[in-house]
Amino acid sequence: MKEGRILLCEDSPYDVELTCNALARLRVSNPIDVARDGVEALDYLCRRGQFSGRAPGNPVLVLLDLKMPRVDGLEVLRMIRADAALKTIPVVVLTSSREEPDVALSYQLGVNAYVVKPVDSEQFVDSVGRLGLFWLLVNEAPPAGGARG
Amino acid sequence: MLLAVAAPLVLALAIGAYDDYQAASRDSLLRSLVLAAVAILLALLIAFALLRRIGDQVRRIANTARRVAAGATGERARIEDIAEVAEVATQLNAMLDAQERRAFALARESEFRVAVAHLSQRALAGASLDRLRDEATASVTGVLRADSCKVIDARPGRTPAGIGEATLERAAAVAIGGRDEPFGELRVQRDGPRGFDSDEMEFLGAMANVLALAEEKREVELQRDALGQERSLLLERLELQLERMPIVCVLFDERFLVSYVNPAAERTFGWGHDEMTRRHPFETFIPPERYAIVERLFERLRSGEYVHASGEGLRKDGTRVLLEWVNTPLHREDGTFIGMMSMAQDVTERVRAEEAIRDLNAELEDRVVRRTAQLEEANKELETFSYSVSHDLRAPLRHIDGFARRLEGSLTGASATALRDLSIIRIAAKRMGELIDDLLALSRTSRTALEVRRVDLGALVREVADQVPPELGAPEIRWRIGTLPAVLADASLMRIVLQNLITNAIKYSRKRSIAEIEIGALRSPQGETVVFVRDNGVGFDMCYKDKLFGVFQRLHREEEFEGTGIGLATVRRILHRHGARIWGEGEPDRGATFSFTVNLAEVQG
Repeated sequence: MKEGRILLCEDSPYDVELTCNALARLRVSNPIDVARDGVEALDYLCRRGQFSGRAPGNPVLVLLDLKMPRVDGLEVLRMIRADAALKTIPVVVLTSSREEPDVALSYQLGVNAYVVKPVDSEQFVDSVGRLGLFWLLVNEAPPAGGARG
Repeated sequence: MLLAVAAPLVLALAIGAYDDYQAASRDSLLRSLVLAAVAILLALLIAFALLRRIGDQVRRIANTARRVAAGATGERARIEDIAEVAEVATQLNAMLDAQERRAFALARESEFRVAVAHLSQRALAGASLDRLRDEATASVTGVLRADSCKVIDARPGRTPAGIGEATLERAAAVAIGGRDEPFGELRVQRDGPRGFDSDEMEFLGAMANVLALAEEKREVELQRDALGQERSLLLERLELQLERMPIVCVLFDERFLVSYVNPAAERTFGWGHDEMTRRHPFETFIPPERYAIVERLFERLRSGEYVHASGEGLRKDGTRVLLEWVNTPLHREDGTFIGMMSMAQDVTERVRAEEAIRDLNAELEDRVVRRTAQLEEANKELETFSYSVSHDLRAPLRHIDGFARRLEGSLTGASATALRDLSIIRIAAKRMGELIDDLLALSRTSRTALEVRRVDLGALVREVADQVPPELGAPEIRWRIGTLPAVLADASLMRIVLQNLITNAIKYSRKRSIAEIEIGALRSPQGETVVFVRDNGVGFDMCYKDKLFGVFQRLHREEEFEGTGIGLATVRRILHRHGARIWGEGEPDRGATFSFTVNLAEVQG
């Protein structure tokens, strides 16, 4: 298993717990970094603010919730795709919303996958776990480009 | 004759005398001389008698001639026996015959002419046809010395009278009027050896002509009368119409003074007939600001132009009316302008109504715009609501389920009750998630715009039926899918309708060993096309039929048949958006049928 990092952008601590749990259940052992909203997410990716001391290198996967305070998921997605250094990062939207506009817009902005969080925990574990497995094991990550120093 | 008598005597005498002379006797000579003297005397006597006779005869002839000259008629000389006299007498008689004939002919000709002239005069004087006929027949009878004369009417509707019972050959007839369509016949009949000669026929013809002319004259008069009557009827009707019609009518003379107004004009303008007539309209119903315009109009009308105009009129009480005028100038044949006829319609009401309608329309448009804005706002609110529902409500549900699961896992050695309680928590959360999903789906069917196009129901039904998971229904499902029409509908929404109805049919018939599901289309008595889905499942009690389509309404227990009770509510909402109706029929344990109306894509022949 590659030792890339996973960035989880999620404002609900419960959802954070459940997601990490699910990944662990399927033995995805990559380290998971959490951003609680869009601002933190971008700070992390750009290695600024509270994350200015972070080791360089893009995460191998961004799990992005859409509904976050301050700056929401779609905004983050847009910024990621607009940034030359960041735009190759695989982004998977992981959200409660099945609403068509959200799906449409996400894809338009260049999301790699769109997964709706199931209410049922079994399904949740199943979905998220397999998600992790795919992106971290099966999928070839983009070559590591240097993060902005 | 005389000579014939005298000659042989003289000859005999002469011979005797010669004989005697030859004999040369004095006695015989004397005898001869006496004989001769007697003979001569006889001869003289005979001659004298003869002459006298001739004289008498000639005198008689002369007398006859004299008498005729004196004016006697019908005299004829007696044909005497003496040849020459007889010859003269014959010639005289012939001459007299000729003369009489000529006189007769002239007299007759004159009689004819007089009779014809008289009849003509009577006809010109205007005698009635019947009288003319009577006079004609009497005159002909007299002039021609006929036994009878009649006019036979040839026109339809009149029975022709016969000549008489006895068939007489001596008759003549002349047509009265043209050969093709005679008015009748003038028939005359005269007993006797003679027929009718050409002069008489000519006379008859002339009389018939007079009658014919009289008939024609009467026909013309009748026509003229009829026309006259028609015209006066028309005039009467026209007058009546003018008086009665609700349209204003004003007649002007050549100086544009009002000569006549109809009651409608009086009502419209408020002035009476006498107040308006013999006055210029400027004094009454033309308002001052229109004087100039109307003056110009009058000029155009005077020159023969037909002018339509519309403008305000002035009522007696000072208020205004709006009128549309049609003006017709009147001219004599020689072009002299004699006046004008104007008709007008009071359009004040109409114009007012039109304005009111326009205002109303503008207001309606306004309202529509505002209402649309309101609806759009409501829709937007609904969208926001659905959006937050889909997000915000699901997250806690997920947490409930997720952490309950974890709890389950970590409670080793927990009591069965505790575990059961936990599982109920999880089930409840899951249920709530389903309800939310269903509600969102229902709201989505109301929000999305309808894209109506041609949808092949048959194909759609088969697709949907194939996609239903088999474990949902009975072990064996017998499908009877009839011919389904192509309809006008939103394809994706119609799919939802069929999915719901077919899934229901399958679900509720799964207790049968063989489920029978029939889908078909029929024509209702009102001419609508109805599609139905029928199953032989558990059915329902009809007294609950009003609850069938309620949101979250169920007629069966959750343990028997799963479901949230949103399916039929969704179906009904979709069908209502299409302007269609849906209803259900069922019997407990005898299955159910759900029918809905559709709009055909093509008119079926």
